Amino acid sequence: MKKTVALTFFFLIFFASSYAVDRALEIKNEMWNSVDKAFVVKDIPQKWAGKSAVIIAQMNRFEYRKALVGNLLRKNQYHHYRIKLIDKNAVDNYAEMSFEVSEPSLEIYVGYKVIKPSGSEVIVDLSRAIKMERSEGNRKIAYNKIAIPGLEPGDILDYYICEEASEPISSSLHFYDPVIYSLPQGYPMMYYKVQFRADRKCYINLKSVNGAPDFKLLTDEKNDEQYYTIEGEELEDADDQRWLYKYRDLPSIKFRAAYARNEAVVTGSDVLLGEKKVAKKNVTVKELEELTANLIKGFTLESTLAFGYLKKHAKANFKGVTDPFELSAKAYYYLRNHTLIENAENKLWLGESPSVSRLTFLKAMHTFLKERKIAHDVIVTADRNISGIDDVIMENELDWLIRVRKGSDYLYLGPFSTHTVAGSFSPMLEGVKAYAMDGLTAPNWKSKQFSMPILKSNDHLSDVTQNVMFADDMVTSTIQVAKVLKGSNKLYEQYYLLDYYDYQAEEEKLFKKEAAKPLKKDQEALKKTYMSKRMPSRYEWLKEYVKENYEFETKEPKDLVVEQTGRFHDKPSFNYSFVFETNELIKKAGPNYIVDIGRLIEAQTKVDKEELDRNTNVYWDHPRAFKHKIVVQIPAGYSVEGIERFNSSTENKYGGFKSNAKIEGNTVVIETLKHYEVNYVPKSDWSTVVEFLNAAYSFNELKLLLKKSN
Amino acid sequence: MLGGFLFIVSTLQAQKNTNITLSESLKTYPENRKAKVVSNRFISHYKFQVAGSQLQVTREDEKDFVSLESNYQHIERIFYNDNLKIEEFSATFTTGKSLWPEKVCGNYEVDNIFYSDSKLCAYRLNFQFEGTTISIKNRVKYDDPKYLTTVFFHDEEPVETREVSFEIPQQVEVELIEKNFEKFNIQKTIQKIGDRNVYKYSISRLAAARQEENSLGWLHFYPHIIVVTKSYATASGKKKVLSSVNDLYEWYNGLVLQVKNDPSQLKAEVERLTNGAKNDLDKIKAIYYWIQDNIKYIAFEDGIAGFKPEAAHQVYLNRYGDCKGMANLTKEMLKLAGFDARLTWIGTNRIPYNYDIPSLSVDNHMVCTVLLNDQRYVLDATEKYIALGKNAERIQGKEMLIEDGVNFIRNTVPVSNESNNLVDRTEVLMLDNKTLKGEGELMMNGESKKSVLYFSTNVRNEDQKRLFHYLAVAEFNNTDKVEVTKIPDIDRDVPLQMKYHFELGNKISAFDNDIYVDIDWNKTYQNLTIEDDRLTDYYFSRKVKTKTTKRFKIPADYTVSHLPASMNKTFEDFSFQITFKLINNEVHYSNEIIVHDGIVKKNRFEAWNECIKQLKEIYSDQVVITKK
Repeated sequence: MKKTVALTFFFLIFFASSYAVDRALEIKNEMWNSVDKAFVVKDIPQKWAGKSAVIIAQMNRFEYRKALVGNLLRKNQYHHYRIKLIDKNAVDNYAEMSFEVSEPSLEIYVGYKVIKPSGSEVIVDLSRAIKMERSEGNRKIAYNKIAIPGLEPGDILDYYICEEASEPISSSLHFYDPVIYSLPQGYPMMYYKVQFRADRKCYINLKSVNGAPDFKLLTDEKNDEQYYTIEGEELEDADDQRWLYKYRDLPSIKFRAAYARNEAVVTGSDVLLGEKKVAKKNVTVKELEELTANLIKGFTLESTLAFGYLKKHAKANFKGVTDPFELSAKAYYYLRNHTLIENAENKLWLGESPSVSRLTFLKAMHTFLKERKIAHDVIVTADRNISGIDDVIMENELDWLIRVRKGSDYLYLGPFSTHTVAGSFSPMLEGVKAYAMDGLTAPNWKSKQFSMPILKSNDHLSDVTQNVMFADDMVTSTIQVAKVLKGSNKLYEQYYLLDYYDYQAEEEKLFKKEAAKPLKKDQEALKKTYMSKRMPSRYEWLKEYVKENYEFETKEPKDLVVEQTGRFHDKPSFNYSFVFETNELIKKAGPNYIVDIGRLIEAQTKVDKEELDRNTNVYWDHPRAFKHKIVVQIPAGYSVEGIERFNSSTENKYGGFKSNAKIEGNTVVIETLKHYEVNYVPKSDWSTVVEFLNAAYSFNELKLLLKKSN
Repeated sequence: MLGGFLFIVSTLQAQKNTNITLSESLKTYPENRKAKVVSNRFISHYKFQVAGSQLQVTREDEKDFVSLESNYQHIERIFYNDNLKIEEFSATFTTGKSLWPEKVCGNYEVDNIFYSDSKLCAYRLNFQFEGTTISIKNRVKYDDPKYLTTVFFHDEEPVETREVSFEIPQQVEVELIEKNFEKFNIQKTIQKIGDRNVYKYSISRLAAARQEENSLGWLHFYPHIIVVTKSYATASGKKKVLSSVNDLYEWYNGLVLQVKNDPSQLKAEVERLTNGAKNDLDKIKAIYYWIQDNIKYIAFEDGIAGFKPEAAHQVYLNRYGDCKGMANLTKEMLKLAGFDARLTWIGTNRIPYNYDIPSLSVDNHMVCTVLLNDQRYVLDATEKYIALGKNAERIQGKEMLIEDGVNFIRNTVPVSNESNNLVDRTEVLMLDNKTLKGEGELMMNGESKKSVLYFSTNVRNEDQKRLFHYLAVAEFNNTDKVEVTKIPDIDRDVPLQMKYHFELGNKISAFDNDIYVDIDWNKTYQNLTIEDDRLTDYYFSRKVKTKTTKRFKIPADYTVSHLPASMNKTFEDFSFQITFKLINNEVHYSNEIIVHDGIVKKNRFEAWNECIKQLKEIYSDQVVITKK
């Protein structure tokens, strides 16, 4: 019996290893001996001769299917690249390559060959690869590194990396990871092909956007398969550019497969699947409605508990509140406290952040509003940096929020963080097309299309006042900074300057809880350590903030006072102040002093010469405004010159920069406003944007003269 | 009930494993000011043992950690490799209760080294409370004693009491060479126990060792012991390990002799390269420069391969290699061209030793020496864009071990002075309305030239122009004009030269009748104030000589009303000479900064910082011209 087992084991190993060898040969043949003419090209177009490298041909194939043997799902990826390396930089980029190591459920097949300008080909010996390993308990992580020999500028590197992975079928409906990417790469491409093959039992979602070629359905008679493919030629490279949403602007594709054991399983919250064998390229409004309804009615423990606590709290505390906005805001803040703050103290000591799923917010809030019969909409849409709602094909592109109605007025309620206020929503949703479904008629609703509002620049505002005083030695400047931040402009600073103890201080009166139990010894120790670092870390952050934004070296900032946290809609601005000193604001110039006053509006965007030509549209996260008021105390014995140059105005429909200066008593008062009025600018108008960016950047370099009085 | 019981146990456990008095006391020492954990006791014991014909060395470490704050995770790292095995690791609380810390072991990856046999085990120790005490013990074994080279006293965390001991049988000859002991109060005792001598070194209150930027490294500063295992006696007689430089060379040379070079595969290339050469030096350059240009540096330090060069033809075919492979290829190609070329071992300037010490720790690099007409040329092909006859800063003044058959030659790499690294910028400036126009020329030599040529040939083709613009004017606006009129030639044998002109709008400020002009916007070294608490000398990675000369033509209707102060500070090791002069209606500005050896020693930090302060004042001042 033992012998039989041993023989079987040996046979299996032998079979597996011989299969791997055969498969490796098969793949090698397919990649390097195919009839695909694009992969034998050696010459590149003259127009790209000055580039670092040119991708002669690129093929990416994704396969999703059930294994022929066993209860396994296969996920295979085949990537083939043929690249002309023109300069040393490209050679450096490809001289050292890495690839994954085969495992029991993952087979890796790779091949590299170098084609010299003479036409000679050298296939890289894979035994040169070096395995890099790390073990963590029973878990081993490894990858291979290989140095490509003989690589020189002018060579072509032709290589493939293929993965054939399998995993047990653990559910009746399995979603493969979605794929979304922009076609332009770091180097220009002469030819590209993307293929997407899926089992007949798979549901397929796919779409080309922003001018990417459409997927074509092809039939592989030999293998009795149908697959989708796109092909294209002559694609320019894409640089990393600021203010670019590449999935909205560059030719991009997205697809996903979902494997279903049988038809019956596709029910409930199974989503946006369409029909088997038919690629789904569009999502209908009805499907969005159904998907949203399924999400709302599905059970989750977290949302059910959250709603239960909210209901109990409302019963005790919301008596007499009838205004729908007031009631829903109270519910919003209670849920925020319950899910993100109430039990967050321990996590804070351990450096962890509390989190809650957006579904919990959506379900608990909607259930509460529905039970109270408060008119509201459930809104489905998509973040504007990911997709327009009409181009959505997968549910992970979608976003939901709630809108409470009072006559023609709306109160938006977005998924919360510890800082968000009732009435706010993600700036990524400003101006996007959306569908609203009446929450009181759920799930039998009919949606209405509308556009989310775009806020004004003053809704995302930084209003900064700075008092500047010079020490008697005219070396050190003291700058008192007072900031009022609104909308999205406050989020970054709130994150660093507020914590659980700030939230708790203002919320403990709102949400009365049982008296906290005395801390255990280990909890006391953790709290003591955290509290000992709490304020020093804030001052350290401010020091870095000054260094990064004013480009001044400073000693420890001081006198940090948070006057308002900005965490409630009736007091929505985050107000704080601090003081810093620097020796870098004032410079001696003979008997006089030059003050680098322009730097006090903080470092402005610099557009480099190379950026002046822009071939993509401009995407800003939201309109926004930055106001600065700088009050400079004129030292006794000095007069001020040069303030007339601080009066400027560069305004257009997309934004602007303006400044003015005046003398008031013994102070110079300079006020500036930089504002972005929109969240999108077509590339044809980029130069208009550069005008006011340049104006603000030039202000950074303006100086004030303190002239010694005679 | 059960929950209550567990709580009591947990609390008792916590109390037993903490020593708050100790942590409070440790916190008061300045050395521990920034520390989160301290080794209250750190003992390393090296034990030499002859087993049969083999000499083995084990190291046993014991550390007693005390945390100075709660909720701190310390990662204890133990390195190992093909010759060094971790045999044991344990961690316990002071109660004796064992801990089983999470462990991650694997390859230790370092930038610029493609592969090495260096590996690391990292153990995560959780200190729950302030004052938590955890003791660790580990034992590692050296299979070959010549790989035990250097023992440090400092650790990544502060150490309160440090002991290092060596237990050496009398039949084993070991020399313990003490380095950098002068500034540290290290006590040494020697005790004879049976047939063994025990050398014990102890020191108290060590600050955490730290890697500082712009430093020559630990070997120049931290106290350490170089362990030279010379020989040992066995029943079959005396066995040598490394008793002298002769042994070291013998071992190195033995590895070289194992390399199977196939010169026939290099012949055609050598002939192609040397065909048009007019003389011997041109032939050497043709080969040397081709290797610099075409062989990419990819480092392998895999066991014995860390000491044995790869075959020359293999490096040639691969188009990559490490320093040994490149030196070997250089030697073989030059030999084919008829030259007397030799492999040469050398330590870079991070290693402050010479070959008086027979240890693997003396060198870390290999080059090729060519003997021609009583001259010795040192060829280091890992240095890209270095000329024949020039030597990289990192090997200047270092002793070499040059192969000479079964013998060897000890020789020192010549030292150049700072003028070899001169960076010289000359500009002529003039005003045109509110624009500062100018023409400039930049000359670079030595290390800067090497770097610029390397970057200019290794950035993407599309980015080359941007690099040259940056070299001309580091900061300019998109409305300014900067044009490079002569890009540098790729020529190792002449200084790098670049010419440019510019029109800049942001270098002047006009107030009424006055115009303030920022003459020198590069402001060389203005931010180079050295931190007070720096431990090691400041090293610029090169000898420094920078010179900027500018002539600012004053418009006819203006007169100079203010010039910034001049500066003349000359010290033995560095100098600053800055002058502003009005000559023939031109402001002549000159700025020359020299750091002779490229090092500001710790005892000169104060003087250096005073100079930087004065320099900043000059840079922040402006030339003022006033309308007549």
